[in-house]
Amino acid sequence: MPETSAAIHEWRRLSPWALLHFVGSGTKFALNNAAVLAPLAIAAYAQDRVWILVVGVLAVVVAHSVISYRCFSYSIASDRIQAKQGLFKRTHLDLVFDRIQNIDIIVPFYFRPFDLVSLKIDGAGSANSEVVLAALKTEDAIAIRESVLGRMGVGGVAAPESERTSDTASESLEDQLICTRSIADLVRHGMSSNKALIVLIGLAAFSGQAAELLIDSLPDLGLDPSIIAGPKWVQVTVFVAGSLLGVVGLFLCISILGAILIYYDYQLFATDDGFKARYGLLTRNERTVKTRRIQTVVWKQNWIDRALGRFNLVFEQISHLPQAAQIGGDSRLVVPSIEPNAAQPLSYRALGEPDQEAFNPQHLEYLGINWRHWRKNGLVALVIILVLMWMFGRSGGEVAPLITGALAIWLVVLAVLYRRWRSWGVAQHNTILVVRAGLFGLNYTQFDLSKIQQVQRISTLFTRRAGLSHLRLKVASQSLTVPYLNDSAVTGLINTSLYTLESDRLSWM
Amino acid sequence: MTFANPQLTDAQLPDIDTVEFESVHARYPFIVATIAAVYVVLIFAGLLVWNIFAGPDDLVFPSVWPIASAFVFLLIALPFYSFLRAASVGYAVRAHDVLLKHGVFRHTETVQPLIRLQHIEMERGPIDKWAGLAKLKLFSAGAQRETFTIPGLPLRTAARIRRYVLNVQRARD
Repeated sequence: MPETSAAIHEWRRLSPWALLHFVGSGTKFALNNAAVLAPLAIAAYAQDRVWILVVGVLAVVVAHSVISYRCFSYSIASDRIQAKQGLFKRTHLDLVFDRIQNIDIIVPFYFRPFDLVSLKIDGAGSANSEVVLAALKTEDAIAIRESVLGRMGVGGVAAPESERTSDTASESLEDQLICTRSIADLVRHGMSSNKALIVLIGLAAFSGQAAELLIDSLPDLGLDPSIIAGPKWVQVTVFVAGSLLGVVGLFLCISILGAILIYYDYQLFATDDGFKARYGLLTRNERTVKTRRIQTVVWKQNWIDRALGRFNLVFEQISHLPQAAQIGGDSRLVVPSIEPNAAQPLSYRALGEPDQEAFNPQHLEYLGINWRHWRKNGLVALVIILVLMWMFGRSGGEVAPLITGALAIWLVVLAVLYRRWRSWGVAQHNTILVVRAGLFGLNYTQFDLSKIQQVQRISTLFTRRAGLSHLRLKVASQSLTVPYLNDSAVTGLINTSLYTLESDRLSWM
Repeated sequence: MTFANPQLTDAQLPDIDTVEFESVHARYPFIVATIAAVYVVLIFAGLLVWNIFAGPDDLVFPSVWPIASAFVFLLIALPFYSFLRAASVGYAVRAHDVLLKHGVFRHTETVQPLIRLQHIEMERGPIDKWAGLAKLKLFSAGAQRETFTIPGLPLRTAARIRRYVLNVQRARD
C-alpha cells in the first residue's frame, strides 16, 4: 500500500515532443469533422477567403494541442495508472491494471527519427477509458508495458517485484513468431474490400445517363466522339465500361494501398498468455492481447475472400460501443487474409485450448434454421415490392413490364434470402459454440460457453405455432442471434450453456 | 476432502422449461395502464388547446369526428395493450441465475447467470413509492447498461432478491 499511495502522487508530464501527437490527433479530429466546417468553407470560398479558414483551423488545432499537452499528466502506481487531462472539461481517468484490455506500442512516422513511441492503454470499460502516453522513449514504453502486463494478475493482485522481473524477461524470450503476412497476402486483403463493389453498384445506376450526357457534350469540349466507332449505344457502352473499370481500378488501388499501409510487415507472436502483433508501414503498431480477454473469434469471409479461399481472422475483445471503432477505440486484433489451415491453430490458441486437436469451422455439422425464415422474409419482400409496384403503377404506363420487372426483382431477392437461410446455423464442439451466418460470404463466430453473459429465447405468434424460437446469446464483444431453430434445440443449447457456465465458474476476462 | 463426481442424467440437468415464473404485483398492470391512458389524454388535450388558440389555417384537426374516433380508439387500445404487456412480466430467481419473461405477441425469456452479474440496483420512482413497489436493475459484467429490469415488484420482494444476489456475489468473491 505505501508503494501505491507514494507512486500515485508522482504525477509526470509528457515530453515536449508529445505536442506532435496532440497536433496529429487534433488534425485527425478536424478532418473527421470536416462536414461541420463545410458551410464555412463554402462561404469562405465564395468570398475568396479560404486562407482565413485554413489559418483559423490550424490556429485552433495548434492551440488545442498546446492546451492538451499542458493539461496532461499521468502517474503509475503498483496496481493502476491514472491520467488527468483537459482544461474546460477536466477528466481524471483511473485504470486498474486488471481492467486493462490492450496495451499498444505505436510508432507514428513523426516519432521515428527521435526513437520515440506512444503507449496506448485501453481499459475494458468503455471507449472513454483510454489513455495515450505519447513521446515516450522506446525502452521506457516497453518497461511500462511489461510492468503493467506483469502486474495484471487475476483479480488485480499484483505479483511480487522479484517474480515480475523474471516473468517479464522470460516472456520476452519466449515470444514465438507464429504468423506473418506477405505483401501478396495484403494485396489479397485489399482486393477483398467491398468498398469498390459498392461504388460500382452506385455508379452503375447513373452511369448510362451520365455517359450519354458526356458524349453529347464532347464536341463542346473540342473532342470528337467519333473516335469510338459505331452507333451511339456502342459509344455509351464503351464509356460506361471504361469509366466503371477506371473507378473500380482506382478504388482497388486505394484499398490495396490502405491494406499495405496498415498491415505492412505483419508479425504475430505467441506470448505466454496471448498474442502480440506488430504491423504498419508509416505508423508501426504493436498490440498485445491476452487470451482470456478474447471473447469471440470470427472467421470473416466475404465473397471475394471466398473466391480466394482466404479468411480474415478477428479476435474480438470487450466492445460495448458500436462507435468505438470509429473513434479509435477498436479493441480487435485482425489477422488479414489467412488460409483456413493457418487460421485453425490461431483460433484454438485464442479460444484457450492450444493442445486440443484443431478443427476447422467449415467442416462442422451445423444445425440449420427452419425454412420458414426464408418464407417469411420472401413474403415481406413480396409485400414491399407490390406496394412499390402499386406506387409506380399509379402514374400510368404499361403494366406488363412493371409486373415482369417486379417479378424479376422478387426472384433475385428470393435467391439472396435462400442463400442467407441456407448459411445460417449453429454447431457445438465440446464447450465451443460456432455460429455461421452470411449472405454472399460466410462468417463463423466461435466462442467458449464460459464467455456467455446472458441468454435469451424469443418466440412470436407465428414461430410458436411451428414449434420454433430464436436463440440469442450475448457475449461481451457482441450479441449473436440464431433465429427459427426448433424449440427443443434452443432449450438444449440454453441448458447446456447455463450448466457449463454456472458449474465451471470460469472467468470471462 | 473427498472428491465426488456423480453422473447427471438429462432429467437432473437444470431445464429452463421447468421454471415456474412469479408474477409481478397485481397492482402493477393497472398502474401501467393508467399511465398510458394519462399520456393519451395529455397528448389529445394538448392538441385540443392548440386547436382552440390556433387560427383557422393552422388547425390540427379541422373535423371533430376523425380525431374523436382516434382518441377513443387509443384511449382503449393503448392502456389495454400496456396492461397485457405489464401482466405478461414474470420473473424467477434460481440458485445460479435470474430469469425474466415478458411480451404479448413476442415472448422473450432472458436468463442472467449470477456469476456474470456486475451489480444490482433497486430503483423507486414517485409512482413506485406511492404504490409500494420497486424495480430491480441487473447489470451484466460485460455490458454498460442494465441487462434487464424487473418492474412492479413489491418492495419487500425486491429487497430480498437484491440481498440474495449480493450474498451470492459476496460468496463468489
